[in-house]
Amino acid sequence: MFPSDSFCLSLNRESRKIFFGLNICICVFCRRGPLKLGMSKVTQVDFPPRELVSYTKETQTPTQTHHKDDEEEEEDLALTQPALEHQEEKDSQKEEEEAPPHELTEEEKQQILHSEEFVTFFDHSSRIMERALSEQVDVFFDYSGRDLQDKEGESQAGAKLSLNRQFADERWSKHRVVTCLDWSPQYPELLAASYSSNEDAPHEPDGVALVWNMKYKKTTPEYVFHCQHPVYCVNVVGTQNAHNLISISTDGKMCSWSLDMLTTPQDSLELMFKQSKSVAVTSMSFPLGDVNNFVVGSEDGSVYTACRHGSKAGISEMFEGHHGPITGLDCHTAAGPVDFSHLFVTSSFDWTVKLWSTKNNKPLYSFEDNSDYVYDVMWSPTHPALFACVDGVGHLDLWNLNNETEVPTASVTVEGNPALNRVRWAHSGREVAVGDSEGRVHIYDVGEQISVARQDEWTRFVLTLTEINENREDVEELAAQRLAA
Amino acid sequence: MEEFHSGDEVSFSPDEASNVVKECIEGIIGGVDYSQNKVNQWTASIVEHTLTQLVKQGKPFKYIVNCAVMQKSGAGLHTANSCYWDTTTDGSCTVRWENRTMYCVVSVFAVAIAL
Repeated sequence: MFPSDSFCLSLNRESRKIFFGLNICICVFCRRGPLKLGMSKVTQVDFPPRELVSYTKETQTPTQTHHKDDEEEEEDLALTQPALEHQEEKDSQKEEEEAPPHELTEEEKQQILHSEEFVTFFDHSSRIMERALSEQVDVFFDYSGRDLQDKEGESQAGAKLSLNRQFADERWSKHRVVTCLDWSPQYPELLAASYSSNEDAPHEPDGVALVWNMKYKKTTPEYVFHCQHPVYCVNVVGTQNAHNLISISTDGKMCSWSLDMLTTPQDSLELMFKQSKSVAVTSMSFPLGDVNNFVVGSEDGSVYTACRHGSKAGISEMFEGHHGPITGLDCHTAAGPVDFSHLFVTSSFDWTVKLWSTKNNKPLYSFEDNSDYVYDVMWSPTHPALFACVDGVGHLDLWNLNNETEVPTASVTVEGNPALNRVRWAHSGREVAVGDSEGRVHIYDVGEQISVARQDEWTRFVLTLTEINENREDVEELAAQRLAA
Repeated sequence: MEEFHSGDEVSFSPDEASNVVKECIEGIIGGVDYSQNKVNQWTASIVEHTLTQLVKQGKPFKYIVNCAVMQKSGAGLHTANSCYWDTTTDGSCTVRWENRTMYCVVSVFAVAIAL
C-alpha cells in the first residue's frame, strides 16, 4: 500500500503519470544513492524421477567396446573393480550420450543411495563380487603330480577327520551360541545356522539365523535373518507337497504349523505321560519316512515315543536309562538293504551316549567314553553304523559300531575347547558341521575310509547289533542273578 | 493501508520467511495424502495463508508467492528461477516439502518497496 495513494487519487490521469514519475525520482533521490540492480542466484528445485529398471532379452553384439570391456573385466577374477564403480561408470557413459553430466547434490546422492532399486541392486551385486573376489583359483596346478613329488606329507585322503573351514561373523554370530544347524537338501553347499541371543548386546535382535555357503571361499554369510525371539529348533516333516513344520517346547506342547500361516499352529498336542505328567521336551526326531510316530527326549532323562495323529495321539511309551536331561536324539536314517529305523541314539548330561531300539524299553548299549556333558548326537545319513557326537569340552567323536564299540573310531578337538552345542552331518555324509558356544560353525571333512559305507556295512551292522544284544542279555542276567542272591 | 517507517533500510530475511512457509504447508497438507479434488484448494490456501502471514510482519515488501504441488508418481520435477533486482534489499526463498504421496514447492519473492 503506497502511503501517497490517497494523494494520487485526487489528480487526473495525466497529472498522475507526471506525479508518479516525480514520485519515483523523489524516491530515488531519497534513497542513499542510485538503485543498484543485479541478478540473483538461480534457485533450482529438483525431484529426480523414479528409475524404472527394464530388461531386454536381445543379445547385443559389442558396438561400444568401452562398455563391453568393463563387463568382461568384471567377470575376470583377477581384477578388483567394486560394484559401485561399475555402476558409476555406466551412469557416466549414459550421461555422456545424453548431456554433459552434472554434479549430484548431497541430497540427490542420499536419495539415490536409499532408493529401493539401489539397495536391491547393491545387495545382489556385492554378494556376487564378494564370492568372485574370495575365490583363489590356482591356474598353475599340475595334475600330473610332478610338483607334488618334492612335497612330503600325507595327502588329505589319509586323514580321518580334518578341519575344512570355520564360519563366524563378527557382527552376527559373536557372543551367541549356535542353537541349531541344518543342511539344505536342495543346495548341498548351503548350511543354515541359528543363534541364541547376544547377552552382551541387549539392543541387538534376539534371534539370528545365518545361511553359510560352502561353495565359495568368501567369509561372510549369504543371508542374514533376524527376529525378536531366540530361535531354538524346528523340524520340517513330510514330502514337498504335504509338509508341516513341527515345533516342540519345554512346556510339553507340540505344535504343527502350516508354512502358509505362521500366526497360529494348525494343531497342537499336549504331551503327557499317562495323562498326568507333562513332558518337558528337549529334543525330537522322526524316524526315516515316518510322519506320524516320533521320539522325544525330555529334561527328566527319559525318552518317549509318541504319535501325532490317530486314536493313540500323544505319548505311547517311556524309555528310561539316562541319569540326566537328554540333550540330543536322533533316529537312524541311513537307508540301505536292512531297515534299522527302529534304532535311535541319545546324548545326555550324564556323560553318555546310549543306543536304543523302539522295541526295547532299556538301552541296547551305552557309550561311556566322554568326560563331560554330551550335547548332541547324530547318525550318518549314509553309513548305517556311524554316528557323531559332541561334548562340552570341544570333542567331536565319530563312532563306527562295526569297527569298535568301546572307543570312538575318530576324534578331534576343536581349538580353544569351546563347548560344542550342535553336530550335523551334511546330506552327503562326507562332512560334519559343528556349532559351538561362541557362535562359530566348524566344518570337518570326514575321511573316505570312515564315511563311505561299503556294501556289506548293513549286514555287518546286523551282526554287531546281535553281538550287542547278546552282551546286554548276559549283563542283565548277571544283574538279575546278583539281585536274587 | 499499513504505514511503513520510511528511511529504514530493511532487507529480506529468507530464514524467517522459510519458517512461515513451512508452518503454513504443515498446517494445510501435513499428514494428508494427495487427493486430486482437494489439491486446488490446498494450493490456493497455502498461497493465501503464506501471503497473509508475510504481510502481517509489516515489512515494506511486495510479495509474490508461488506454490506447486506434484503427486509422487515416479516422474521427475525440475524448476529454476532467477531475478533481477536490488540484491541488497530484495530476496527470495524456496521451500521444498514432501510426504509419502506428494511434493510441494513454495517460492516467496520479496521486493522492497522504494520509499
